[in-house]
Amino acid sequence: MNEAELIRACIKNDRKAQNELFRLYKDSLFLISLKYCRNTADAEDNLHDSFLTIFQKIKNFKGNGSFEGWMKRITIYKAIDKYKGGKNSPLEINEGILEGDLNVDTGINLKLDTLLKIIQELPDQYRLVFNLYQMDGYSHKQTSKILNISENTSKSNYHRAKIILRKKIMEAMKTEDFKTEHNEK
Amino acid sequence: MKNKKDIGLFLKEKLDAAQKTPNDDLWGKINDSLNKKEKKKRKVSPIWFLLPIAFSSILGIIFYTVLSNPQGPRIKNTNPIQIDTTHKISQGKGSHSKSNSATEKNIFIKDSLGEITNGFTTINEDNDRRKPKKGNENNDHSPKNRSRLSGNKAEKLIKSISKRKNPNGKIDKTIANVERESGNSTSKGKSKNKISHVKTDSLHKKDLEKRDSTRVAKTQNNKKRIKETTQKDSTKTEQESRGKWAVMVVGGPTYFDISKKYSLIDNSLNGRKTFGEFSFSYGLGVSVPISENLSISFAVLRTKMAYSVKNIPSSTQQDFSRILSYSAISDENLVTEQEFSEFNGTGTSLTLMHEIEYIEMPLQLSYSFVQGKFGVHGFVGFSTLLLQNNVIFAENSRGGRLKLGSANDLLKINLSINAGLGAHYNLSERIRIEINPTFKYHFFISDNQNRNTSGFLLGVYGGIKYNFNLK
Repeated sequence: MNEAELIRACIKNDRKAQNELFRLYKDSLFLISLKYCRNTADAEDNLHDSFLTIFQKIKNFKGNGSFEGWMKRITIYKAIDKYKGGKNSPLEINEGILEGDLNVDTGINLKLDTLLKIIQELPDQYRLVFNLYQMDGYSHKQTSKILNISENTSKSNYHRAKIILRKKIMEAMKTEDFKTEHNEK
Repeated sequence: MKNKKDIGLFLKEKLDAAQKTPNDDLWGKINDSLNKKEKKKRKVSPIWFLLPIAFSSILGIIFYTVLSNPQGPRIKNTNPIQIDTTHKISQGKGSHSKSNSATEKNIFIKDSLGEITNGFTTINEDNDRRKPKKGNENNDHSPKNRSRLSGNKAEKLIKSISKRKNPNGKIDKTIANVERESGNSTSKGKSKNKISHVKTDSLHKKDLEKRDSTRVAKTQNNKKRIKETTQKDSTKTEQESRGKWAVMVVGGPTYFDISKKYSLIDNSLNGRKTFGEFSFSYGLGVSVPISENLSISFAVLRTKMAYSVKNIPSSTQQDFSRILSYSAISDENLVTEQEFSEFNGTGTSLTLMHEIEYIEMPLQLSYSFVQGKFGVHGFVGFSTLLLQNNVIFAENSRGGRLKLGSANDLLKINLSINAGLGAHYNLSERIRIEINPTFKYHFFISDNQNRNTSGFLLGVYGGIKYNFNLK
């Protein structure tokens, strides 16, 4: 069954087709959810809600643009709706480090779960801004409108998010190096 | 020297290449949710069907009870025996007619069972103000010229009535009154009023028979007239008691708003300020009296309610897809992002407007505090609302509207409690104008547990009531 046939079957509420669609896209959409949500449980909830909306709205998909892109947008917006305007206050950041180096060694080899955890631990707004701008290619202007914040806030949040991420990656490196050395001994 | 990379790019590269699989149970959960949604669409709680049926039944019983009793439940026969005395002047011919300057007193007796009996007594009244003007008046008080056939009948009738059982003794009393009245008139005019027997001699037999037949005809006419009078009286009594039955034409502006805690459109709009909108409600109703001050009314109204959520960002493609993905906007929505973009133009924000239309059936108890030409009344009750239509529009900065779809989880039937204080003015016996400012609180507008919300409606209903004889 090709994509068009699958969509038509899903519009008819064919449960097998819906299952097939889920099977095809669950991983990529789950990864998006993991990046935007605070933890794995939230990410699974978000994926659940996203698929329900996708099946409900699939009639609206007119074939303009990629179907996967359409599904990704739904997943992103579901996650944003979950956290936008949340009371998770941004971390206190020492202003002194704002001008610091934001580069990391390309050779850093952290586990995927560790990297995801570092992103998930970002304050909600920083995480949303970082993901929208950095991971999904939205401009600061677009990001600011989606999150109902100013463009400058978006830029500032993005910058601060990167500082926090670098700091956390460094800390994680030390922990993982320590664990590796400890295991080797 | 190690290669360096921006932390953002570094993470993007790492995560783009990654793959993560969700828990195996997830499809099961999604499947369950899809099944539940389908069931919800099919299933409406039976209580919501039973409720309007119960209301209709109660109303039907009230109607039936009142209509099936033509006297009306509140008519009291406080005067079971009615005596109508009508003076008549009998005119005759020949020797008998000459002596017939008598006044007949027709006695119509209506007993407690509603039977009408009549009889005639012929009573001589010398001082009767309605004496015949002709010169053949005869003031002879001899038994010959006194009451004749009718007197005989009346005597028999009185005797028969006297024999009747009457626990109240009213008939006897009434007859006594009649006799007393006759006696009085005699004493006043110094003439004797007696009930006499008729002499039946052969010479007058023919004449008497003729007179009899005339009297019978008159009696029948009188009976007919009395029957009509009685019917008129009865109808009047019914009208008096049921005159408050009224049909109403109702209409008025309404203002509706919902609680902002939960949005009916999407969870992302929870807590966002909503703005009430003015609409119009109209319909027909009936009002039935229960007691002097209390009445019950039932109406069928077409009620439109609307509210809006303002300043929804709408400048990017993402905004469009975000709005179109609002969870309450149902499957019927066929607007594409392209169409939405064209509609939005260069606008940066738009307003979402939600219009909900119900057939509303208010059942209300009304109590009159002040009655008269001008009156004041209070009322309480509840409305059953049957969902007819609900539409979510986007409204752009130019005032243009685009239908996005409809909320898919509104309850098909919901309830409101109503209360208000009204005033009325009686233009005539039958026509009354009313104004009824009403507050209505709506429970559970949505059947979605996560999005359930309440609302309120303020209406200023004006109406014209027409008292209607339902006979």
